[in-house]
Amino acid sequence: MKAAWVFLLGSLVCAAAARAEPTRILLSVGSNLGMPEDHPLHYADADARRFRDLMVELGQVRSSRAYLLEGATATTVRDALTEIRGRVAELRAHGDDVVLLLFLSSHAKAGYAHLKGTLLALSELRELAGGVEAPLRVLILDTCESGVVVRHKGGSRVPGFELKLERLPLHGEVVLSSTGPAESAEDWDSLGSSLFTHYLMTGLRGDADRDGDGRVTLYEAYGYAYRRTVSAAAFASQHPSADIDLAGSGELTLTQPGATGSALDFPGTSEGSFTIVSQPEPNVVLEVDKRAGPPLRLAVPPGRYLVRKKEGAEIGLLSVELPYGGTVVVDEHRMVKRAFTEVSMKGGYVDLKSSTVLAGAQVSTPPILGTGPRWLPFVGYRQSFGLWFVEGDLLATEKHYSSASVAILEKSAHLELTGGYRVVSLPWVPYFAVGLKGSYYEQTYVREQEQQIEATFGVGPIPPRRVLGLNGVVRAGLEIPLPENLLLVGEVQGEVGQLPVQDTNNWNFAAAARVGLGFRF
Amino acid sequence: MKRMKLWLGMGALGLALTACGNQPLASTKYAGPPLATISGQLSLPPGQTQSAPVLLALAWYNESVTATAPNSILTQDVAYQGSFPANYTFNLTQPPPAGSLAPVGNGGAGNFAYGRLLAYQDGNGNGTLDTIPFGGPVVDKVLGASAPLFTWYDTVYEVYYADGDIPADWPAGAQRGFNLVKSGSANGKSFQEVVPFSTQVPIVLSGENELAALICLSGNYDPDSGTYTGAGAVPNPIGYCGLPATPNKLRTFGTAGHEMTAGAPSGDWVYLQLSDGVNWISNASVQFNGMPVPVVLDAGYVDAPGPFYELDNNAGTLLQPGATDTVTINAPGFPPVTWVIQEADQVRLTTPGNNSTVSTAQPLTISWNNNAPGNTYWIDIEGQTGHWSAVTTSSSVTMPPDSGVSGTGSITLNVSGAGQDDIYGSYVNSESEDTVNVTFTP
Repeated sequence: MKAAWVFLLGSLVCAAAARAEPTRILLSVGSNLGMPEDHPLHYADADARRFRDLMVELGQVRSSRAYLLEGATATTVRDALTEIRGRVAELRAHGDDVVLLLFLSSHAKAGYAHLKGTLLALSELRELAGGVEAPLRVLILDTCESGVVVRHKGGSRVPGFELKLERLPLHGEVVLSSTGPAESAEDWDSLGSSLFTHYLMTGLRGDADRDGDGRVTLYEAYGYAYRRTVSAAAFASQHPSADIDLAGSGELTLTQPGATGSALDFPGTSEGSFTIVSQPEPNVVLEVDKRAGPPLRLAVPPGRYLVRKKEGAEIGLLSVELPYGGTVVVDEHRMVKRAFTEVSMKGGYVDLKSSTVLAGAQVSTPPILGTGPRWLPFVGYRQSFGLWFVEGDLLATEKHYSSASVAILEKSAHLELTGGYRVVSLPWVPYFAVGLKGSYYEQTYVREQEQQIEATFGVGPIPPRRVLGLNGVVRAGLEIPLPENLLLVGEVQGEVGQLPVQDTNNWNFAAAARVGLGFRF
Repeated sequence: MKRMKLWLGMGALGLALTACGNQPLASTKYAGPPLATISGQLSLPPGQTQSAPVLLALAWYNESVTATAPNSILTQDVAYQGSFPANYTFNLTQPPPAGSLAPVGNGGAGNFAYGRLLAYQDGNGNGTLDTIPFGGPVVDKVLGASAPLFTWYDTVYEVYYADGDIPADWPAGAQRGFNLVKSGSANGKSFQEVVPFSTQVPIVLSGENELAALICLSGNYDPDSGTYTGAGAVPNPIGYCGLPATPNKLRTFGTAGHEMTAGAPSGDWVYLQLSDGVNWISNASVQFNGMPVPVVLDAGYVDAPGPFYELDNNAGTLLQPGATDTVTINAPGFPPVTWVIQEADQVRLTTPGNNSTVSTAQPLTISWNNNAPGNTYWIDIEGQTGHWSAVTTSSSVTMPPDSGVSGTGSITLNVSGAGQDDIYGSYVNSESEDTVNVTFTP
């Protein structure tokens, strides 16, 4: 084992020669269900999905080359690897350098992965991967007893200058397993993930970047995941292992958190145990133990997060809106202190900014046929209750149009009350709402020959008409976090209701589109 | 239960909200509240059918006599379809456009216009009654009118509009704004009266070609001569529009007159012309009260070419004022026709006297000796320069000062008797006329 790391270190010393970046192909496999006697896993499929997303986000894997198998079986895995083998062959025929990444999260026992009632020998999996004509293959197995597949072939200390002379591309095979032989892999509900994958991904997001170069290498990632997994596992009963058989120059960079867009920056002075939890659905995204020293950048997808820091009986809380492509500095001075018990009672979810004021404009179809669209400025207030919210909006506008021989000025005001649900698991938050909209309309009229009519016929102006309407409203929109507690909303609406209009049956159907800016507080 | 109460409450709130408005919001068809409403019935002549929708339009004219070439047409896009007779209503929501208005004149202020309600078939489906350029295609077919073009003696209805002074020749009771005026003849007299808008106005959907003249843009009317140019005074009564007459119809154009001119012997005359809508007819047998009326192939009338059937009796004994005359016509290829007309009353101007001199700086009262109920009197004053006219049912009329009439001239009083006509352009009537010579001084 130690020899392998020495070998790896030796290879990492070499500077990579200038050459084209290898093409990366990922197969991420998850299966919550194993064999009938296995207790279903909770997070295997989710881990596979998250790993796939992470590698697309940070690992230079194009989404079109990232295969995801959720609820996988032995057959689907074999089929996928067969397809990948063909695809890699095509790439190689074009002279491309290829790296195969394979991630597996499932039950396993006695050298077999349990995949939804089917068995797949880990050795077969390794052979199938070996059949792919990729010069460099990385297998990450987060299963029980996955250590049996690790062959301690080890490596030999090789002088660095010899590798420099050869300057061959890095090639070979790496197998990382989350457990040692006869060990169990732990699933943690509090993390919403398996222990090893959680820390592996935490490391890949930047916490493993020990040299601060913005890249997380295989060595850094494995070392980080190993350390955190062993220290966190109950009774230190889980020991990730590795089988590394690499040759050539350069280092294997798994992710580049420093080169990606959205990230959390921890200043060098920050110190302590931080947990980054998504909001309002409180999923633990990262847990880092930051020590004073170099600053730390953690690549995190855009979205809303709560940064928690344990401080004795209290917890410091900082709500963060991470915009697309933006970074936010975790400023401990802005943390709100809450009792540990309060945060615990709320299951980790603490919404520090549950109120939002909104303003914007809406365009909607006309309530009266043939009178053109209505442009309505609006202001609104939204109060969130976890994933749910209620919102009240005020809209008003006026519109000029003409009928047969009458100029009409229409003024309208609307009060919209809706309640809805926000899908917070995505960086851009979709939301849906239903409710009621009360409308007040006033029409004033001027005839073409108004003065002439009044003088000749001795009549006054046409009296204005005032009408109230009530519509049911369905809203669907998207909320985009912006810096400084701002957010951008865009939505479409459908309405149906009653509005008395001449020559109609008074049923009012309308559609609207809205954009607005919001501020959370 | 609580949830049900909530929904019931919200439903009640919705109903209460929607019920709050007294009137619904106006749509793009809204034309304002009606200033007047015409109602009546659309009917078909016996044996005629109408399957296409019938629409209504009000056509405004500023020349009541010619009553063609509407200056504007207001349509109401309510289609009547199915079985006839069918009741209709037509709302008047705006005055006629400025282009339809003519000045009252004769010293009066303001403008006036005449309107006829037309029923039509929308040929191109554009919801509007399309007018006909001279010689152009007929797009929409006029099926009927509240006042057809050639009905001087049948009962017809028109809308009179004035925005200032009421024209002097309008019937009593006319006022600013819209007036529904009923015209026709009864008991041998023509009449014209203002009736309430609640009066039912019938429209017969006869659909003859001649109705198209109500929307033709002849553009060739000469108001000075009162004639149309371009098409000429042709046997086709709607030729001035470039429109074909209804074929195979015998048309009679005739007048029997009794005229007196101070200083000259009185005279009686009968003039008749016959046509089939395309050509003059000169081979008919015509009798007036049993007397043969000979044909004159070239009467030499500049404004009225074609053969004339005419009788002249300068002794003034051909006609008996107030009597009933009969005209019988036998034209080859047509069924015999008999026209019965009531001769006009004999009238005499009493003031001013013949050869008198009057000052136009003062109001000039013209009066006459006969004021039979139902008579309509036409006063025509011609000076060496200037002209003034009036129509009245009373026995006198006053020309206001500064009328512009001056020099040696004449005053003519004319009254018509009750005649007959048909929808194809025929008319046979009588008139009585008296003229005095007057000198107008400033």
